[in-house]
Amino acid sequence: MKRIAIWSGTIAILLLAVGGIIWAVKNSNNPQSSDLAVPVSASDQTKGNPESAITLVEYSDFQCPACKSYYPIVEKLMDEYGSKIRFVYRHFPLPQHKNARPTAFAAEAAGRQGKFWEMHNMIFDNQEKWAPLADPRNTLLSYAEGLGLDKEKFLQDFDSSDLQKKVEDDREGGIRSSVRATPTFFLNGAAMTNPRSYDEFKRAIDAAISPSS
Amino acid sequence: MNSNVQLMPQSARRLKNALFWFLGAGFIGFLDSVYLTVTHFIGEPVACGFFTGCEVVASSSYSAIAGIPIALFGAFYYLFWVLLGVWYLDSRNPLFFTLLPLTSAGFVVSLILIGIQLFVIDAICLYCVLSAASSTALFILSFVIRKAGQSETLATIHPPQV
Repeated sequence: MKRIAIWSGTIAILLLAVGGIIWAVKNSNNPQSSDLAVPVSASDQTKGNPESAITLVEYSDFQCPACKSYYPIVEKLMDEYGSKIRFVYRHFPLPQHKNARPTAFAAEAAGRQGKFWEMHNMIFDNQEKWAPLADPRNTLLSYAEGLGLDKEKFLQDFDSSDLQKKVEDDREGGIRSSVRATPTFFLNGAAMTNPRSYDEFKRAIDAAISPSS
Repeated sequence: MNSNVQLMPQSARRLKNALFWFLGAGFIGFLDSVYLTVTHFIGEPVACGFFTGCEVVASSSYSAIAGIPIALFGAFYYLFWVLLGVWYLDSRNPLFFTLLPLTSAGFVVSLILIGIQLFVIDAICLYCVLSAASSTALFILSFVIRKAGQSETLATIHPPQV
C-alpha cells in the first residue's frame, strides 16, 4: 500500500510538473488580443487570391518544429481556399534557432527569382536535414540549384544587406504585433489562437468568409 | 526488506536529510531542463527576463546534438536520479549507493557546458547555471548519502543495543 502511494505520488508530481510547464509555455504562446501592426504590402510574400478580402498572415520560423507541423495544414487550406483567401508569410526567426535566419534569407533570395514558395516548401520538407548543420549555406545552395535558380544571383541576394533587412523588418513588425512565438497567425488583422487541427482552422476561415453563418 | 533494521539515529537523520535535498535538487534540475526542452519544441523564446545570455546560448550550435536539445538529455538525467532516489526510499536497496558515483558524469558535463558558455560562447544562460547547480548538488550530496549509507550498513550489521 505504501509502495503504491510512493510511486503513484511521484509519477503524479512529475506528470503535473511537466504538464504545468507545457501549459504555461503554450499559454504564453498566444497573445491575448493584438492586431497586426504592419499592413500587408507589396514587399510581402503572398499567395492565393491577391484581391481577396480575407487575409491570413503567418509569422513563422523555418527551424521551428511547430511551424513545420502547421505547414501542411496551411498548404491544405490554400488548396481548398486558394481562390478565396490571401496568405502572407512573414519571417520571425527565433534566437534559439541558429539556422532560422539563413533559411529565411534563402527563401527571400529564391523569391527574387520568383520561387519563394518553392524554396519555402523545400526548406520545410527538409527541416531535419539542415537544422543541425553548423552552416547550412551549401545545403541551401543545393536547394537553389535543385529549383533551377541562377546560382550566382542566389548567392548575391543571400548575402545582400537589403534582403537581410527585409527579414529583420518582418521580425520587428512581428514584435510590434505582439508576436512572441511561432507560428502566430493573424486572420484579417486579428491574432488567432493557434487552431489545433485542420478542421478548427477551416472553421475560423469559414467564419471569416461568411460571418453571418 | 530491512524493515526491522534499527538505524543509528544520527546517520539515519543525515541520510534522510541528504535524500530529501538530493530529490529536491533532482526535481529542480528536472523542471529546469523540461522548461528548456518545451520552449525548444514549441518554439517559444526562452524567458530570460533581464538576462540576455540565454538567448545567445540557446541559439548557439552547442545547444543541441543532431537536432536534439541538450536540455532533453538533462531532463532524462534528472528524471533518472529522482526515480532512483524514490526507488531507494521505497526499497532501501543498497544498489542505489553503488550507482551514486555516476553523478560525477553529470557534474563533469555541467563543468564542460559552463566552460563552453564562459570561454567559447561568451554568454551565460541562467537556466543552464541552475542546471549546473543542480547537478553539482547531486554530485556533492552523493558523497553525503554514501557516507550516511555506510553507517546504515554498519547499523544493519551491528544493531545498537537498547
